[in-house]
Amino acid sequence: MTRKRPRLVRAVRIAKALLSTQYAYMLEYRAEIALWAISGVLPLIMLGVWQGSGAATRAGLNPQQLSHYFVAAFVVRQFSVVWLIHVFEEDTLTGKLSPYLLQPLQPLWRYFCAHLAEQATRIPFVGFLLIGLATINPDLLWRPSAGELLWGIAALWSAFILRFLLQTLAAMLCFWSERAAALDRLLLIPYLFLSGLVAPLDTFPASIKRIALATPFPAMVDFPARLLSGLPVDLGGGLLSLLIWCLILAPLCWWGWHQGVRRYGAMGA
Amino acid sequence: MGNKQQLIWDLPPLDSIRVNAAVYGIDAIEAKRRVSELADMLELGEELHRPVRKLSLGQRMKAELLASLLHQPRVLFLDEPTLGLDVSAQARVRDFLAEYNRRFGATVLLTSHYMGDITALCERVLLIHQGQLFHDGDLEALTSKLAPFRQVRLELQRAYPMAAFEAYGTVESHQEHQVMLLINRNCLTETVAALLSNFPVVDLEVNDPPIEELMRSLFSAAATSALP
Repeated sequence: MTRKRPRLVRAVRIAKALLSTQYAYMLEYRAEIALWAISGVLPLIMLGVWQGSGAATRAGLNPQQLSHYFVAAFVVRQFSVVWLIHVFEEDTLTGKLSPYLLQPLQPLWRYFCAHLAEQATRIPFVGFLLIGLATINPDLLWRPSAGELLWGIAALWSAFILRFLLQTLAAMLCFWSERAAALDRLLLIPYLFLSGLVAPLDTFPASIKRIALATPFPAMVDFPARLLSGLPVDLGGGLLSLLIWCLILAPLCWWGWHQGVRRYGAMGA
Repeated sequence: MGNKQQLIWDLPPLDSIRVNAAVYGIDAIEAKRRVSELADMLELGEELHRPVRKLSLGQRMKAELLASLLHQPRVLFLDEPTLGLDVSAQARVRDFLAEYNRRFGATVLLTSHYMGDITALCERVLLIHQGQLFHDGDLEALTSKLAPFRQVRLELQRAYPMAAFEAYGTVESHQEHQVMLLINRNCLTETVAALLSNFPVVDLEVNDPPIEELMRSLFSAAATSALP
């Protein structure tokens, strides 16, 4: 007989089972994950571009701060990658979502755990890339203080949750459209330019910076990257921004899920 | 259980089963006991330790069944559980479902286009055609409804003209020593007795028309709006 367990104990057991299983699954794709890690070097390319110009200096960043910022942005990017919409689109179109809907667990938790497992699989590859960078130029790396590291990791993980929520909301369109993943490609443009991935927000004209700060994108890269690299940052403001955006997006995702799942009916589902 | 797989493709079925055990709140010892019991019934062994992608379709389907039944559902919705399986795998899945039903008293709602599934497993048959419930009852009643006759095959010592049998029923085929008749179920016993006393019968066989043929005739009749 199945005994009734306290909810927390059950949640921990489900999380452990899902994470260990998904980690084993991701290890099967470690070669692919290594390639993904290498393909996330855009911030390092942008570092090369910015180093040759004087724009960063004019924005008040010295060359070392600039390089630390982009290396931190590289790390943030590596551990906040979200690919939910692509698998969710396939799962809704092919009916793979159906068995999960019958189980007493919100299916999105499976995708969330898969992302966490993928991040864990990525750690050694990112480590190798950072060691490679240090070999080429030891000045590119630095030792953050305990506080910077702690807050930086907290902000990075919150940034991942924010990205996950944003993409979950977009993924809910899979219930209405067969090509909802195209929206993610559209979202990539503001993400690239407004998040601080191609340029630190300080280098933006004041009006553009104001617009960027009114969106969730700077909280996804600029804020955690500044924390990790030790640049001056409004800690309270950044965390508040992350919290507010998460609080806005979470109920929208919940609403989107409940509206969408009612009309879900894949072939053979 | 639909025909969409829930097992993780690159991992052994046991990994997915472990997740299901956690999701349904089944403790590890109990989960192990249930896996062992179901694996015995399904004749699954080391397949549970091999990646799903390396299993045959039949093995995969059995592993899917195990994963779906771990929490011992009281009602099973099975959508084409034998689809694409070879004949022996189909038989094993059918045997398992019958045994599961006996052992756990679960209600099984089975959707299938294979009449073999229906004849082997279903005590109650609901036939839905174009959104209309055509039949709700046992298979025998459905057969009687669709075909109120039985097929009688006679092998005779010598040849008789076809006209000699027309008084007994509809002559379906006639080949010298062999005759196939369709005889109304209500007067089957008397008619067969009369045939045996009036003709030198070497062999006699009474069959229901194949259910597949009955279905086919039903659906073609429906296509020409002549549903019985």
